[in-house]
Parts: sequence; structure tokens; C-alpha cells
Amino acid sequence: MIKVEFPDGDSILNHLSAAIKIMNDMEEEFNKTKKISLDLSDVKWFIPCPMILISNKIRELLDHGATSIMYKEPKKANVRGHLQKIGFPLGTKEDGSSYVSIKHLRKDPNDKNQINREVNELVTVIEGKAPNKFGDSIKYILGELSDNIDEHSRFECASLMAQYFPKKEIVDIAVFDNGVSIPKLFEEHNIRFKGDSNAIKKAVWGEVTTKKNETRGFGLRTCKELSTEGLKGELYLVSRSGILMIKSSKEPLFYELKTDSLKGTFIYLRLKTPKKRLNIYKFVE
Amino acid sequence: MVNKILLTSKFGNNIFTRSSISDFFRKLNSLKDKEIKLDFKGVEFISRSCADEYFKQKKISKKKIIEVNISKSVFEMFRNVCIQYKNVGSEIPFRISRARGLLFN
Repeated sequence: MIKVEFPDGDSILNHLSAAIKIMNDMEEEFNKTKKISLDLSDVKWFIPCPMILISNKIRELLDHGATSIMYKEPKKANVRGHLQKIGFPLGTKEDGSSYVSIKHLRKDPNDKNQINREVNELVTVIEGKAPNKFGDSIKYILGELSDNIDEHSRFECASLMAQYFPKKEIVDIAVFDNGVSIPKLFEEHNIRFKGDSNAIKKAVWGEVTTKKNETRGFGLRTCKELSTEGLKGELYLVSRSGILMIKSSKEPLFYELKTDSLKGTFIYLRLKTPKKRLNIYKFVE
Repeated sequence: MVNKILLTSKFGNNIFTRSSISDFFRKLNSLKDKEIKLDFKGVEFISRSCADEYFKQKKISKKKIIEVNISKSVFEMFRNVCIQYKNVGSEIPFRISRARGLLFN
């Protein structure tokens, strides 16, 4: 049984690293036993967004033929309640007044409009929970992220959750796809990079695109500018072993995971409510 | 009579993915009509990627396509993508006029 533990403190990077290790342990256990067993009994608290990584992994392994999930609930009642609220472990259609619980989207290769349709539904729900001062920014960000996933990632299962914190006036959005990852995609297209975080840099800064067309490759860059400059927020992106972290106007930081790596791409955004309605079109290139 | 297609019936209120645009044009190109009116009424938002894909698909389509009821935000996105075409030295596929829809150069 895999012991699920998260570090003390609210470092997003530490929580993400812990979640990625748990995912890899799950994969290993599944390969040996075809089962998933998680012990969350000693979880004292957690940051919601990394939980979509574990939830997505459960969904993926079930789709790959896992015969059972054993799941020991947290002893602490408030932690147990909060996990249920966000739809852990398999996601739920029910949402709260200020949050969108974990949603999984499994790829239907025969339906070209699937992502467009499902993201439309999600955006409507998320925008209903956040102040309208965000303007079209949430639409823009989720639209470009979902288009990247749809076009490039070859995912089986993509996951999303979001929450508005009224007291802090911030919106958290987490999006994950279990596809090929940015570094892997670059390798397939013979795009050179020095380390996985450098591949992320090239993708986010629009230095390269996998399609031979100079009018492409702007989506992620505008997402970065909108979230960190327009909305004074934070952006975390993990793809395979690379990590990018940007906090508002500070210099971006790049890291490499030392022992584990993520199969897919995870993006976590923490966006501040603007003082007045944001006009996104001055950020769009 | 010109065939008129209400885009919200195909995409919903927002247009997010290139694949949905290219799939839409594949179906549109197979129609018998030579002239097609695309009604943007109710389309609140088009992503930058989709605006770019729309231009590309419209350019290669043999149909005469006329856009109507383009909202302010959709117009802004089309306009920004046109500016970006100009910035990278690409051919600008259309003149933009919100009142008159998108016109060929």
C-alpha cells in the first residue's frame, strides 16, 4: 500500500514533487499487481490542485485495466471532508459555490469537437464563480491550454479543477494532461534543448513551434503574460522532468526534477482579481 | 438562397480549438452551396489560435463566406491576429471591418 504524505508548509513545488512521486509509485504497483492501493490516513492537509495528478493517475490506471482501488481515507475529518468536496478520487460533476471539483476528460478520437464542447461547459461554470473583472482572461487561458492539449499532447485523460478564494480574491486553476509532455514532443520533432526545463522555456516563450508556421506558437506565451503581468499571478508548469515557476514580475525560475518525472504536462495558475475589468486584447499578439 | 449557419449551434458560445474549426470547414466545404453566411450571433469569444485557424481555412475554402453579427471581442481577436500576421511579414488574408464582416483583400 502506498503511503500518501505531503510536506508541511505551502510550497507548491514540494507538494507537486510529492504528488509526482506518488503517481510513479502507483504506476510501479500497478505494473506488479494490477491494483491501486493508497493510504491517506495520515494526511494532515493538502493543497487541492496537486490532487488532480493523483486522481488522473487513478483514472488512467483504471482505464488500463486496474482490477481494484483500495483507498484508506484520512483520519482527520476536515481533510476527509475536503477531499470528498473536491471529488477525490475519481472526480465528480457536482461543484461548490466557489470551486469546480476535479473533472476528467477522456479523449474520444472520433469527436473533433469534444474538447471545444467540454471546455465551453467548464468555462461557463468557472466564470460563474469568479468576478467579472477577469474579463475574457480565463477563457483565453483555458482556451489556449486546451487547444495545446488537443493539438499536441496525444493525451488519454486530461483533468482540471479550479477554485475562487473570495477573501484572498484569487482564482486557482490546475490543468493536467497525461500525454507526451513538451520535452518528448520536441524530441519527436528534432527540436534541440538543454534539459527539460529548457524545452519548457522554448515552448512558453514561443521560441519554437512544432508546426512549420510563423503565425503559431503564441498561445502559451500570451497565457504567461496574461497570468503573470495582466493578473499579477503565479504560474507553475511541470512537463516530464522540467519545472518552470513564475511569480508575477519576478524573474522566472527553472528546475529539473532529480529522481521522478511526470508523464504529461501540468499547469497551475494562481490569478489575482484585477482592480478593474481586464482588457486581454492588449496582451494578445 | 444563401445558406446561413448559426455558429453557436456548432461550437457553443466560445470557440476554443483549432480542430473544431478545421472539422467545421471540412463539413462546410462539402456543402453544395457556393455562398455561405456564417452568423456569429451569440459567439462571445474566439481564441487566438482559432482566429488564426479560421483565417487559414477561409483562405483555402472555395466557398464565398460572409460573416455577420461579429461581436466586439471576436472582432478584437481577428484584428489582433491580423496585426500579428503583419508583424511577422505574413500575407494579411482579410481586411477587417466589424460592420461589414471579414472581407477578402
